[in-house]
Amino acid sequence: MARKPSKRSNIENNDPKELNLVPYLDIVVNVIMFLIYTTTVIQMGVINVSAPKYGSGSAGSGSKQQEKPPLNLSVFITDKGFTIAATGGVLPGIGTGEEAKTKGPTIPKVNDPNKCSAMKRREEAPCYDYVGLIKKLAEIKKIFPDETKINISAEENIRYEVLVNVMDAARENPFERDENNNPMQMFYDVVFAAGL
Amino acid sequence: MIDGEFYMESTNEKNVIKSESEELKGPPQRKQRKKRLEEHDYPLNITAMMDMMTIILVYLLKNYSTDPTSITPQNDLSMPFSTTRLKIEAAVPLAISKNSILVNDKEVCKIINGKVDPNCKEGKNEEQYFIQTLYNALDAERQKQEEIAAYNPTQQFKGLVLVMGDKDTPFRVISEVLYTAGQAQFGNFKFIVLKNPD
Repeated sequence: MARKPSKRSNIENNDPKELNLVPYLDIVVNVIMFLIYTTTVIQMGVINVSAPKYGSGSAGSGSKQQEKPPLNLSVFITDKGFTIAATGGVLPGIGTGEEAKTKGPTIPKVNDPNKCSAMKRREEAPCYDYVGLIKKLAEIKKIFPDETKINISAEENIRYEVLVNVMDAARENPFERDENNNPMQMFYDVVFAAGL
Repeated sequence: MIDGEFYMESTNEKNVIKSESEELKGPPQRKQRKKRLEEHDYPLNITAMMDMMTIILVYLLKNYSTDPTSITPQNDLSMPFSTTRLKIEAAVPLAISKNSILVNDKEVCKIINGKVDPNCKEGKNEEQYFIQTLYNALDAERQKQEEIAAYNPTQQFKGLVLVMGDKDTPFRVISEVLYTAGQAQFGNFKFIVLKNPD
């Protein structure tokens, strides 16, 4: 004869039991560690550059209606400094002496250590005069306020860092502020031209 | 009730004797209660900690998903600093490190002594601007994107490349890479730079 099943062992425990969260917490802590490890803290930005468009200068009747011819502002980076040119011609050198004015670049390299450490840069003298470049481009911007395009070209051995610095110098003028207290925008439409 | 049971279980003979002797010195009830509190094992309340961890996890996952490109810093690729304020968009990553050119983290050509390996160019001609292996990789990428665009009109091919250059890369290498990308119909470049700490 079978025994009557025990009442005591079949009673369900109605006490609320707490969920064991410890293994779940283990997983969450591991995932957090992984995410923190893989997320890079470095803040990155972007500079827009477009490739030169060959043979697409005329846009039909639209270009004929324009009164002003395009400025076609160009900056050439050489070992000696920056040369600024536009449709009208090449800007003469700012240095003193006949040779600097006729043969040298518009903004030659400088030996002044104060200028080399300006704009949070630490470069060995002689270094590129970015402050001089900003001031010169600001002068041009005042004469041509609607112009935003700039062609940048360089000698073959010029480093990429110098190019980025030139693009920074051309994009905004930190010495003048607009109505929102942001640096004055200058030539932010960069076009890369092939080597000299 | 539970506390009492626990106290009964955890006390040993020595403690009982000690507490009996202490009973004579001070108020007996308070001493006993204090002792009971000291011996009680309090478990850590994990629920509150779990709450906190879940919030951190959700925050991190959200940050992780909004990052359009996974740019892993490499030893031979130190990017220059810039004052730009524009943010990164998703596009084809093209890295120019000290030793190689990479498309989508895959090496397509080597850079030897600051010059593109002539073996990557047609006819091994050093003077040429066109890098054949880079063109092949970018052309495959363009075909892939156009195929996606055929099924999904919102994902149109824009010819956008994210260029990550090492700060010591010579201009010749950059212009060769940009020229080749232009040939593969990638005409809009976004140079990735590190933001200047203000």
